Amino acid sequence: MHILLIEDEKKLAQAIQESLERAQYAVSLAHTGEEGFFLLNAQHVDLVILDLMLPGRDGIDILSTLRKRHTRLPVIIITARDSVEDRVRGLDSGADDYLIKPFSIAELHARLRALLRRGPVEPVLTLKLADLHMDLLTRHVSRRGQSIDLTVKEFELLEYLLRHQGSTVTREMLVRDIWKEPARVVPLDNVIDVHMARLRKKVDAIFDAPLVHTVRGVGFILREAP
Amino acid sequence: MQLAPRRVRWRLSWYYAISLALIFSVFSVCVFLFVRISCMIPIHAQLDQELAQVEKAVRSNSAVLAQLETEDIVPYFRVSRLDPSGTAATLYATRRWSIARFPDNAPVAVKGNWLTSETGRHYFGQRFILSQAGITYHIDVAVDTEQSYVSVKKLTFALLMSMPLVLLASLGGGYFFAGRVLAPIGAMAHKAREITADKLSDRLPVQDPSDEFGHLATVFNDTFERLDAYFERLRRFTADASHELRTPLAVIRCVGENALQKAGSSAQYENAIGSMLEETDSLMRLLDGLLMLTRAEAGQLALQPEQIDLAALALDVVNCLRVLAEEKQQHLCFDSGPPVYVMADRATLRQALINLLSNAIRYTPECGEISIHLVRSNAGMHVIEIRDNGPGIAQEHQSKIFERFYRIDQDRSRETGGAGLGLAIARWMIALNSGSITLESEERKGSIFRITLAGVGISGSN
Repeated sequence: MHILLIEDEKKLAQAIQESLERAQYAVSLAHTGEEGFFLLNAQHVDLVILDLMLPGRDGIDILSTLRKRHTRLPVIIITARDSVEDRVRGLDSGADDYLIKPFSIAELHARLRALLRRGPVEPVLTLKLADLHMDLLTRHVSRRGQSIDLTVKEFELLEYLLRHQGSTVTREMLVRDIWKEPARVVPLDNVIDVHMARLRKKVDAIFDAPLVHTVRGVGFILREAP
Repeated sequence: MQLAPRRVRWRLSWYYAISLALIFSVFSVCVFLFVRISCMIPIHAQLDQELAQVEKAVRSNSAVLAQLETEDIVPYFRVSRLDPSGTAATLYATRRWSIARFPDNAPVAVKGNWLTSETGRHYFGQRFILSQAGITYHIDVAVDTEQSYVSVKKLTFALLMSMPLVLLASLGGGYFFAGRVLAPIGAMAHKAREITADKLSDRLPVQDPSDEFGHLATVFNDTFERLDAYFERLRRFTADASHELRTPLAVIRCVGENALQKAGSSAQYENAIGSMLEETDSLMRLLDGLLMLTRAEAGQLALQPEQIDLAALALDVVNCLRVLAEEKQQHLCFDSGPPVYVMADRATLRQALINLLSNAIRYTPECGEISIHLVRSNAGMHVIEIRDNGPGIAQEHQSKIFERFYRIDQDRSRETGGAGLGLAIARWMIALNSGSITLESEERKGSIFRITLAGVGISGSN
């Protein structure tokens, strides 16, 4: 997978590039829109990450030019403009996703995966990690054959973590996807922590190998090794 | 700021002088007319009487005419006969009439007119036209009015002469009194100049609160009061905001420096980075909250008002936050009841409810009780109450609790609370939905936050 990153802030661009490369993506970096266009024509690109405030040319302008030639190329906008109108304008111009700075890299990865996975998705009936099994039809969860009784919220949480297993899930992602809360300001951190603690108690407490891990300052991750 | 009281003072004096001059002119004209009329009344009476006597004499015989003169009954008269050709021939004229030698053979009007003798004495004469046996007689009678004439003349002169004096005196007096009346303005301007942003606690002197200047000073003082309160709020806001913004930054900086200075294990680095990320998170939240408030104030939040079932929304919020109350073994009760419809933007209203309820849960001690009530009031307003039996809010904090960054604990501990934006956001979110929020609280008993929203009728009737 080849990703083109158009971002003028060098430190941010470098951090994103490094994290993407660690996740086995090939990354081309452009600091201006023109440079981005050049790279886009020079090589095959699977996805574009585009900053809206670029020197010289506005990101929206770049996006609409880009859309004329590469109609199906997925584009993620990263911007500090967070008003509803800005978001609507960005999505109207043809962006597939819209991330507001400061975003977490974990979230950027999650969005990337979602976009690159697009297309016919095989309906999954069961999710599993190590000895943890989740049946989405019967809503039955078990670990090492031992059945685990979860509340609706805990089930949703575990399902979300299982679907993102191996990558970090931020609190913001949980607030938006599980609690369906659009605003970042809504104070649901404590609520998430309580649910997470309860989920851990049920999934991990009586077993020796914990699966749910906290990534301090970022969020949670479901994986086998610590 | 340079006030110009002198110009106002002059203007006032001029107005004063001009109005006084006008009044004086009217007064003078009235006096003049009154005196003149009072002089003329006896003159007319005398003329009427004398004319009647002369007429009587003409009708009887001319011997009586001489008698009228000799007995000094009518001192000035003349009787002339009108020829058919129109020329008048004098039949009889008293000696005094002849001596007076009125010019032009004294044309005398029927309604009376002034006559001046050769010597310059003033008389008033009147003519009576008598027709007897086909002969027309002109009977002219005059009265010596020199005395009255001189009196009126003197009076006129006196009135005219006093005019400039009156003007001058009123101008001077006006200037003097205007100066005295305007003196408080000078004092106020002087004092106001001394009141600056850092001396806003000073007030203007109020000499007499019931007069206009006292009223003006009181109004100014009220303005200063508000300004003072506003500046105080601003000072507090700046101090609190810088505290809230600097604390996480300080943590990030110190933790980062510390981690760099010593070669540590990767676990130590992870720990340092983790705590830096946590602080970044709290900074981001703070910024988001402040931005939201700023946008709400500027009216830049895009709202999508729709018909919302308040009962369902409240139940949703309660269910969302119930786990927090469970953790503290608090009793959280809400009897949702039938739907209650309001016109509001769902996201903002939900956020306000979440902020209020999570505050209640946070500040109510373990095993406390929190309840939510939905009240339909008569005037089509719906009230949602969030009650707790927590520590309550002291009177002095109640009015400020909705201000951004306001916190009751002055140490602003981060362990026990947030940045102090929650209630400010809640108030704005409710205000944006045309609602209002009030607080009723008693220390050690608990608090009630009451949200009032306009309803759109019951059971879906819009």
